Amino acid sequence: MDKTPSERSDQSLLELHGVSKQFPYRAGPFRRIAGFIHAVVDVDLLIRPGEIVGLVGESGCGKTTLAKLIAQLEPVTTGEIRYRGELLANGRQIPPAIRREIQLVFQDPTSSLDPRQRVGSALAEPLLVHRLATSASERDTTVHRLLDQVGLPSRYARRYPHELSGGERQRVAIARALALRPRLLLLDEPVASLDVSVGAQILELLKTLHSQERLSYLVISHDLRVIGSICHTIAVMYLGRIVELADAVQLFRQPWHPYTELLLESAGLRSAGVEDRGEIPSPLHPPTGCPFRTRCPLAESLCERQDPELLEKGPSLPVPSQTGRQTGRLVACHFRP
Amino acid sequence: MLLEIRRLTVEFQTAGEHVRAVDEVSLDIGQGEVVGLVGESGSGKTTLGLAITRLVPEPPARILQGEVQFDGEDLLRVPRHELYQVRGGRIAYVFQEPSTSLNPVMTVGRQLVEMIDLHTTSRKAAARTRAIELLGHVGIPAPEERMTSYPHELSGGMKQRVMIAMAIASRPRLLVADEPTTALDVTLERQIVALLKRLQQELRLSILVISHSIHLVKQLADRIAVMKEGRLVEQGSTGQVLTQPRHEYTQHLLAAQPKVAALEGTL
Repeated sequence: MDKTPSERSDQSLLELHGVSKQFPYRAGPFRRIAGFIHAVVDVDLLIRPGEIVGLVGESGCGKTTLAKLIAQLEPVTTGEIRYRGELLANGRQIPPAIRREIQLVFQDPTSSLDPRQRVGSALAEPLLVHRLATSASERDTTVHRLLDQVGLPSRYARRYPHELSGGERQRVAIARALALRPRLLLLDEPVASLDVSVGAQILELLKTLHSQERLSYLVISHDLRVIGSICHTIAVMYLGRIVELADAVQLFRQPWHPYTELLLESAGLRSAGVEDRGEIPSPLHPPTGCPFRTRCPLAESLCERQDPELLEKGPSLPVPSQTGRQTGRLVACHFRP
Repeated sequence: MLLEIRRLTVEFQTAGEHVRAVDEVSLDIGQGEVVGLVGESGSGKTTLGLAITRLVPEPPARILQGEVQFDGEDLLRVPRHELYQVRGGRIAYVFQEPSTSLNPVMTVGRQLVEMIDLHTTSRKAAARTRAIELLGHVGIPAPEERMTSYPHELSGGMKQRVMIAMAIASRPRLLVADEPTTALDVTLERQIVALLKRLQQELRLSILVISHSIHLVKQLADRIAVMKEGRLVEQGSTGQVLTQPRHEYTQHLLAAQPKVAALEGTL
């Protein structure tokens, strides 16, 4: 915390410190607050410039909530989010110049594009709002450049979303996020609504854009295959907590957390015969101690009493990648590794 | 052969246009055999599954030609009232979205008992006992207490288990499972796959599993059929289709599966 913003920005683009989000749960005839759902619990996360971080977990684990917190669509309950050293959370007014550098791409392009707005105007709108292109000709040039970047011909500017296929719509949604020249894209299930072959093309596009623009991504998916095809670093989330954070190679070759093992096994990426004893518990009544203990084959009485901390255990491997970064490997388990 | 589909053709008529959703498809399913039908959205795989028992809405659909031989009779030619006994009886269905297939204002127990009453002649008390037995059979904990639960009180995985219990209530010979796990998380998919495998063996059930997911199909199926634009472009044993795909489209589908770069050293 004692570094100046400019120093910190060299190593990190986005930092989350102890970020939590609670939603009030209302019940009864007067809709009184009956309790709180802990959607995100004490999350620390770091995204470096040019890094692709994956966030994986089952539905309801809090991954989309976390993306919304980063995108400032929801206020955090506690904790802080810093972007290039600048504090975003805690109800501060965010300068538009910083605001536009973080863009969110949603899962379903059909519902995130205005059905009555032509593609060209959808792409020009953010440019107008942020005054990035002042003249009409400048806007047109930018719109055509954006379409070209996502592999669509310029004539698509005159089309409506319903005239496009699902994959083309997702390309438009990505182009729209790129319009503001972001540095960080939050991609929430970018291929989940698409057929596999179309999804593969979108993943290729994301890889190309990443290498051309030196963007950072936070890729959110329930699908370890999608995460594993593109991410450098992977955070595994369970009931609002990060339970394992590791380099992609380490995580796939040697998972530490029993939940990561279960996810890999379920995705057919491992066959160690891990047993699955149940389902994700309700976040309204999370288990005491370790959140995963109700499904965990290793669970003992200790797990019931004590919630394991997310700790750095063991050395990190240097990973050959364009960013040349290293990650400390973190796991929240009493018995692993 | 339990089911023999011969040159089945189903056409949809929309805005003056004729679209062949299923185009001269022939497919066999043996007793106790699991066949996987793979294809992308719009390939006609769901229509094929529905057309077996003439569940496709006519109009706009029209079954133009073909035969569906099931247990020695052509389902396309039996009178409609007999089909009611076949559907949900000897041929049962499990669909993708359990939330929309269950009645939200009726307890799970009543829905299950209703299903049993419809297809067997057992008494009320016997039907209730059988319903509890079925819930236990599909792996629902405390089945007796769950009888009084409403669908919204169950998780997605539990709802799909209830749907499977309803499907096997009539002791079907063939189960058509259309994207049975698409709405579920991978971990639950794995549990449902294990359940279907167990039921298939215990009940000597034949299953037609329809999905866009090769990962799902390869875990269940003995044989795989690949569908594209209404046509079956390839079929063969699961091992053969996955390791030596002959048709270009199958190769394309297999290549499109996301490759885990971290495992292949291409990061």
